[in-house]
Amino acid sequence: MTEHTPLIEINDLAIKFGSHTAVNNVTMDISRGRIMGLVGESGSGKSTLANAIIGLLPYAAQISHGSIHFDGRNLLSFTAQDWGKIRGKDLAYVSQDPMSALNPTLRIGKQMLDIQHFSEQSTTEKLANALAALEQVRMPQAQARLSMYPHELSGGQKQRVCIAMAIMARPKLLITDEATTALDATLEVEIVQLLKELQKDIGCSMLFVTHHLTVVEELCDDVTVMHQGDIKECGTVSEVFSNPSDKYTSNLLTCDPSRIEEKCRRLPIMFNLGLKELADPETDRKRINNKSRPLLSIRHLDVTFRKPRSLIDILTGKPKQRVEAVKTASLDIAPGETVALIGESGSGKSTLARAAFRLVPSEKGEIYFDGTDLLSITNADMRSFRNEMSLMMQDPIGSLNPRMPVGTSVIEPLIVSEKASGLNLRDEAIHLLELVGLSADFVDRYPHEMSGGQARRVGVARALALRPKMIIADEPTAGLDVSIQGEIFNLLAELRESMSLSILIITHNLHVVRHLADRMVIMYHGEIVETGTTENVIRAPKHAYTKVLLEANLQAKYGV
Amino acid sequence: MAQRTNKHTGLTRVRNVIRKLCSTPLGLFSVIIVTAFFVVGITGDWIAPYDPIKLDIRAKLQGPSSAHWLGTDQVGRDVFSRLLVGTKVASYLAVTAVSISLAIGIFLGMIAAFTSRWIDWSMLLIFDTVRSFPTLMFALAVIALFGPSINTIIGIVVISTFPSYARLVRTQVLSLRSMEYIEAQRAMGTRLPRILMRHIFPNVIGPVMIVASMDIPLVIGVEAGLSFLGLGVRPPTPSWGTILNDGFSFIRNTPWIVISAGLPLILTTVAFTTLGERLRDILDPKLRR
Amino acid sequence: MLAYAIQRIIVSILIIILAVTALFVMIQFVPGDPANVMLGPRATPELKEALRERLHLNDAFIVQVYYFFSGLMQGDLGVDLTSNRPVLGILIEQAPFTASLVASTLLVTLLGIPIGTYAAVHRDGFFDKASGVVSVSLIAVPPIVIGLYLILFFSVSLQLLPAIGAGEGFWEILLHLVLPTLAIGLTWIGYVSRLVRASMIEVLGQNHVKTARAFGIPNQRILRAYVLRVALPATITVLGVSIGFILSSAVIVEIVFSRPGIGKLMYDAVISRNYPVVMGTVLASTVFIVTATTISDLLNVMLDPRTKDEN
Repeated sequence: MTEHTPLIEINDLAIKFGSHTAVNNVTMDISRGRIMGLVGESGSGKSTLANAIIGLLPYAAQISHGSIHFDGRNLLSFTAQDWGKIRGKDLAYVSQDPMSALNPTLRIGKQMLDIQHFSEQSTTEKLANALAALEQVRMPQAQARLSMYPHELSGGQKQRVCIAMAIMARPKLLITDEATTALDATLEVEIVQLLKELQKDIGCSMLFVTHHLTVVEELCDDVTVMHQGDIKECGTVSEVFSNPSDKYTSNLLTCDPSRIEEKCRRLPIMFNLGLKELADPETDRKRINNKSRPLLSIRHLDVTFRKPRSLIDILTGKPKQRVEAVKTASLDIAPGETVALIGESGSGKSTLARAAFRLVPSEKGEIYFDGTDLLSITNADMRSFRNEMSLMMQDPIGSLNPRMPVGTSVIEPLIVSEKASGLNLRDEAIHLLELVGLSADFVDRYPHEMSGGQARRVGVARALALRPKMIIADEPTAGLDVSIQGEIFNLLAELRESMSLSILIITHNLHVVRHLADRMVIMYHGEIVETGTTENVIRAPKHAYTKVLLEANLQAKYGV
Repeated sequence: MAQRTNKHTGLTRVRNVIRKLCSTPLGLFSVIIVTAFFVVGITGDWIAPYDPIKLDIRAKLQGPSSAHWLGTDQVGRDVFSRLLVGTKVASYLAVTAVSISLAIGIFLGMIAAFTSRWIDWSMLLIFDTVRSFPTLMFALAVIALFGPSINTIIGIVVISTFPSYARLVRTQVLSLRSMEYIEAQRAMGTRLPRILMRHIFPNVIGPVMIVASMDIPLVIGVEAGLSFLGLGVRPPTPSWGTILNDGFSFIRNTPWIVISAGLPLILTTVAFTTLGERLRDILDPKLRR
Repeated sequence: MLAYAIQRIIVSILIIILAVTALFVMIQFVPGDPANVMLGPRATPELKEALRERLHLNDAFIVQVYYFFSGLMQGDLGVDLTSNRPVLGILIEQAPFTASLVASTLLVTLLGIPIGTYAAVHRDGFFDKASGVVSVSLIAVPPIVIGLYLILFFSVSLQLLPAIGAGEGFWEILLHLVLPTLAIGLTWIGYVSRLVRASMIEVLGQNHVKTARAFGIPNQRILRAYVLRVALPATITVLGVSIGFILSSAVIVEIVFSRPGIGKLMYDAVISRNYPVVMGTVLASTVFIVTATTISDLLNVMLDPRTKDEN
């Protein structure tokens, strides 16, 4: 085919799962040598579309009409043999979840040999190719990795292996499906950089599927926006991002907390852009009571985990392995204040929160709540403090009992703390749900009948059941679509004003928290490396890690 | 969906599950056979057309006829009546042995999951030890020492099945214990008994019940086997195994006794397995939605 | 890997010690005089006394413990009460019959793997549905019923295959193995094929298989190295457990088919209250089963490098 035709031409494609339409009459081209970003929220059909191109739709999916042409050939008429000739050669694919993308029972080297199945080269030559590819993706100690099993690598390393496998083929089209979603922000930046370089090297086209607008802006040449199976907008990145023609796209861009530079008191949401309200330093100052002692004061806290020894360790007298999750951490939260505890996965931030609730034992230090050291009181005394602070767990649906209707879950704290007598529990449950913006009929729903955002609201309602003085929220917006993140943000912002709540937000996502937090606390490898007001930390980070983190999170254009 | 009240959801769920069970021919078949198994088990004595232990030597080893639907055995007893009454032994065993075993298994499994590492470890060791006895040989040894009786069989079945339940419960509880909703309960100060009863037990009981329903054929098989060997239910009490044994002696001349005694065994065991598989398909949260 | 293997073997030894202790304790709990139980109520006092002496029943409990365990250490499982021969010798004499039955059943059970694989690959096809119905119907039926029906059909009606004894000479032995093997094995073929099918379907849907497909790795290779290899450990565990059940079923089947072997030996011993033989048999089979499950666990670790001690 000529150089001028697009590499991929998708024409009027429709894909159904039973009666549900996942992709609805989509027409789209991917040009040669360019990077196409495919953006959409969960359920938009973007991954289904990507799977259709590589011919790996799930079992239940059916293509009802349309066509996909690759280099002029109709992919939908391909037999298994035809696919065998182009997959791993002209087409390469990097999947969503690096943790599960590699065969757990084969060594890395073996898997990299397997994908060269079409090559006539000798095994030694193939191994040399594999090593070269690993070096190309800047894998540390590439030679040693070849004889390792996937479970011996970290998530980022696994993703590097997947990318190495993809580029080894020197494909015409590289498809990546949320390839950076599961990674921490700093790692995400590295991988995106890597993909950009490799694409230039090989000169291939790329389809980059993601829900992350900022990454698209950074990496892609073109962008397609999908929503509920439809294509909303398609064009070059500069066009679409600066001047979106579609309402959905422009709303999406307006609502993305990472694209709002000024600090907001309320964020705009998809269905109500006018909600946006800038933060007012004066009201914030009034809300925080800095004069009295801090509500929560963590002093020099150490949390150490001991890995249980196996029988053989005991017999050989090997000492218990210790993991220092939190190292002499100190942290204060004033009444009414919102503090963000920021760090990457494994930095010990969740452990710190769990320690405050005595869910994990602390080794050293003090945790003062309203002047009482929680670590030195009995379990029975601790019980009364559990009424004054609530913990919201990370997974919105997983933190609710799957066999309990939501209305019952919400009033559990009342029953547990024996404050339920004399209350009409059903009314109380409805009241709590309405407080977080859910209608009364949610009382009888089960967790699996709700969306992530709704379940998150239920989590907030449960946390509020006992009218606590403080909420500790672990990743309250993780896993939620950008448009929903704003809603949860606004909910927390309203509540802290109406109920004078202190909030500790634990997160790796700077975008949302930047608007909400009065102060930021940065945690790195179990240590608190920096504390300061949100404005100061963002404007003038002191610690080297904070700088890296900020750079990765809030792209350069905000003048960081 | 939206207008349900709390009290009705439990019942509605059960009704929904039964409706789904009956929606496929195999499911319907298994529900009917399992129901019949328990109904006949209770009413067998009354609905049997003949006295199952009354001898009538003149009528021995007759073929199936309108008077004796499944013929008679070597001492002239009506095989059909004996099979109906024999259901009593099978269903009694299935219910008692499995429920005792379940109770012990769930209790010990929860303890193992919620106590110290050392107790957990020692209990696992004991479970694995008990599991490593071959069921029937262990049964023979016990019978050799304590003599055959229905209670001995119950004891044998309980001892040889409870470790599997305990292990299953333990694994389930351990995986639930690290779930966020349990941690959320602990954070709000819920006491251990309430966590166990309100939040863990309801989520554990489903999978265990499914395994138990699929173990009922095993129980019926052990009884049939032991009674066949003359080491289970003592004659003249009819049980499916003793009837099989009666027929075995005359297998070359009068095969219908073995054939008809085998049929209820096949029907019930297949029904219980199908029921368990269907239940798992319906209740498994991974397949739900 | 090596550390895991050593640990697993230590646990197995512990299990065997515990099992032996349990059996010993069980004997102590026999109601009444063991000599009475063994010889029956009509034995003369002299006979009973002689037996007591021989089994050290008159000694203190702790001395009995000593005799029991020191005997075991030297491979002494006691003496047959009727023939006065050492139990170990009798066991060794009878073991080949049962071992061949267990081995052939295991071999037949392996058929479940290709059946399950084919069903999983051609999911919802005719073969899948048909094999599904047949497997589910066979899974739970007690071997005794299958055995009797097989005798009726193949020996009594068709007179094709022998139903009695173990036979002599290679072909005869093989022919005599067919029906007993099927009596135990049919249910296991069904069980294993269902299990392989279920775990294959699970693995087929996993991300790493999708990755392998996306790289155009040939289907045969994907099935072998990417699907079966990951799906197989669950099956091997079940095969390890199945050995216990097969051995257990052998008791019934050996009697139905009048085959010599451990099961028949044990049954006769139970009937004649020859209880050193009973205990020796249980002990030997327990050791055998523990060994089998240990081997299957170690195989698992070799196939799946992630597996560690989950306890």
